[in-house]
Amino acid sequence: MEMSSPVEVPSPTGETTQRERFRPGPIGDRKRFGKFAALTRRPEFGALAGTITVYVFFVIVAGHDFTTATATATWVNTSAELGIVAIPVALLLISGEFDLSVGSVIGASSMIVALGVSHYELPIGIAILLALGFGSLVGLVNGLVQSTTGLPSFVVTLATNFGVLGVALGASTAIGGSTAATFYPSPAAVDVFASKIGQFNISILWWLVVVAIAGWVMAKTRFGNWILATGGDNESATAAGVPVKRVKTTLFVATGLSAALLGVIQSIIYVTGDATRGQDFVFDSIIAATIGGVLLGGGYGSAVGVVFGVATYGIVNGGVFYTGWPTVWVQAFLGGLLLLAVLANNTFRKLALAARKEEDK
Amino acid sequence: MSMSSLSRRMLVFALLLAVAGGAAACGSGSDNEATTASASASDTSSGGDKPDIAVVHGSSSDPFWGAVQRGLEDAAKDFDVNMKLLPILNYDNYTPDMSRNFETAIGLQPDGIVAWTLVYDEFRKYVRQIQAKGIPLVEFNGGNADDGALGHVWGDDYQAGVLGGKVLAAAGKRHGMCVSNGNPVLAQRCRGFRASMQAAGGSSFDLNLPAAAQSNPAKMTQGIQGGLTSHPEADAIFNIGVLQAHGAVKAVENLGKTGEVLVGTDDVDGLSLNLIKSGKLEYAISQSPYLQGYYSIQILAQYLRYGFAPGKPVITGPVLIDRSSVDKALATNSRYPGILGGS
Repeated sequence: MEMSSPVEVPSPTGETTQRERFRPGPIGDRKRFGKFAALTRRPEFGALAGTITVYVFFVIVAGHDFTTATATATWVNTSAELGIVAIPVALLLISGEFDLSVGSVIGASSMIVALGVSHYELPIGIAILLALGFGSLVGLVNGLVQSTTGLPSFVVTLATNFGVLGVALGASTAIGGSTAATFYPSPAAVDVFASKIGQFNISILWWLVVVAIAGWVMAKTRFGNWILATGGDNESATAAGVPVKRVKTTLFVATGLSAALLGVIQSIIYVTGDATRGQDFVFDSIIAATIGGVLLGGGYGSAVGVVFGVATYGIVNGGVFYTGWPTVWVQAFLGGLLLLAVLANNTFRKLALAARKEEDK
Repeated sequence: MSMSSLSRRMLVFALLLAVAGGAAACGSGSDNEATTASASASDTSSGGDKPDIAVVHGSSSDPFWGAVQRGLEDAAKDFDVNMKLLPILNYDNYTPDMSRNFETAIGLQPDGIVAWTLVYDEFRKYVRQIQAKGIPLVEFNGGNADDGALGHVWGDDYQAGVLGGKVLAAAGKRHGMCVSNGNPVLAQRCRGFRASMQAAGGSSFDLNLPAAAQSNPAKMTQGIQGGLTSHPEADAIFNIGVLQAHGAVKAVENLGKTGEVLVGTDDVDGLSLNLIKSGKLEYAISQSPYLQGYYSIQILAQYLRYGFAPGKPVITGPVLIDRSSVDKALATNSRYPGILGGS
């Protein structure tokens, strides 16, 4: 298609010159809607479209019940908890690897805090540090095993997931007599990890910190480029001088650490540890990343997109219960709505890419 | 394809088969599941006088079954039996996993079997096989009183719900909500609850939160909060388990309805006891899992030794723990964490 046609344009000196007239692409005229069009071409826009679609859906179906501060706080709280883990998992996915062990780390760290305080009577700060250290250690093991053996991380971290879960279950039972434990967190710990602003948990702030760090790394640092390069193609990246193994191992430590952080936060909010907690995060974090535009094959995605992915997932998971629909069908609704979100995401991404192609002609 | 490469492939294939066969033989029976002193004694196979008992039971990652296991182990020690535990790892693949454990137990030719025949119809054929071999069977936490097993030890799920409903109805509540997870047997609890509410002139509906979300307290709170918001008339919440109960208490708090909406639960754990003490939870209903484990071994051991057994099922629950009895329960729980079903 002819993108432009020559046009006579008067210049300040009175002479006329030939200029190309810009024809608008499918999304909009760059001159008039320049900024908006540019926005729609960003990878995150599709994810945002998905979020808005499902939110509007629930506002229509569930009505005012869903837009109250209380209702909003519940899904934002759930999204924040997922987001703390999903963002580092997404960065790892972008670099081309999976971490399926986050689930067990969440449960194990919650037990380290719970038993550390209730059984061993440690100051909670020490118990928290131990839990965070444990998560980082598991991540380190994942990273080292994956980089030295070259085995698919899917398999390596699946094995770690089972291993850590087994150890958590066995150790909890041996130490405390059960796989779950209650404890009394100190007021300081509650302030830092479990306080609320109205109905909104402080875990939201923790999540925003994680988002900020991830966003800055991806956008402003060389390491961020390395992540994308590694995910794009291991060999080309290595040839270009990217320390691929170091990048991946660092990201594994990040996912382990974030899972431990979530375990700590949850244990203090709910004043219990549970070795079996967290298994749903394994899959949920990958779903949220995918809805957020991260490609499972690696090499493409952004932290902001995952924010929208996490929000979409939170809205869908929470919203179903505000509709009053018979709850035995909940799983079916979840599936349908997630599909809707992903389709919205995909549609906008295709439009955006088509617009970009048109411009480049 | 040359002959040598064909025979090489066949050799590799044969090796893989041998390894797989060996692994399967070692894997079944899950020796590594029995991790305690009395269980390691049970691994030394049948000596002459000590009876061998095989136990097919639920996942040890479930605090309820953790308490059952403590009962089993204490009884094995007290009654001097060799015990082989055959738990399932989780409930994702319940029927095939339990079937495999049944087959293993029967294959061991023990002196007695304790079995969790939860969904009786599915495992009736194993009950028949066990009886055909003349192995005495005690069914616990489920089963069918008419199938001719030697003994039954259980708590009644339906009655637990009935009791739960009675207490909340007596407090003046008429619009119940039963938080369930889709498990058809635990649904009995909701049915019992509904019967009580209806008997008092009220009603009840079931709120189903997927079992996969159970271990996520945020999702539990969120789902129940949504359920309460979309059913504003609900004033009584009965939970099939403690994980649901924790979420229900938080949801009621978030909506500012503590005291207005009463919450009760089946099963017991440390947090639930604390919540009863602080008035946020009305009661926890126990079926005494420890006793279920203990009495099952006791019945078999005494039958094998003396030849007699109780003539009727031993009913270990429901037992109500509320504000008047919670202090005693808390004391037991702190002295013996997990013995009530979760610390």
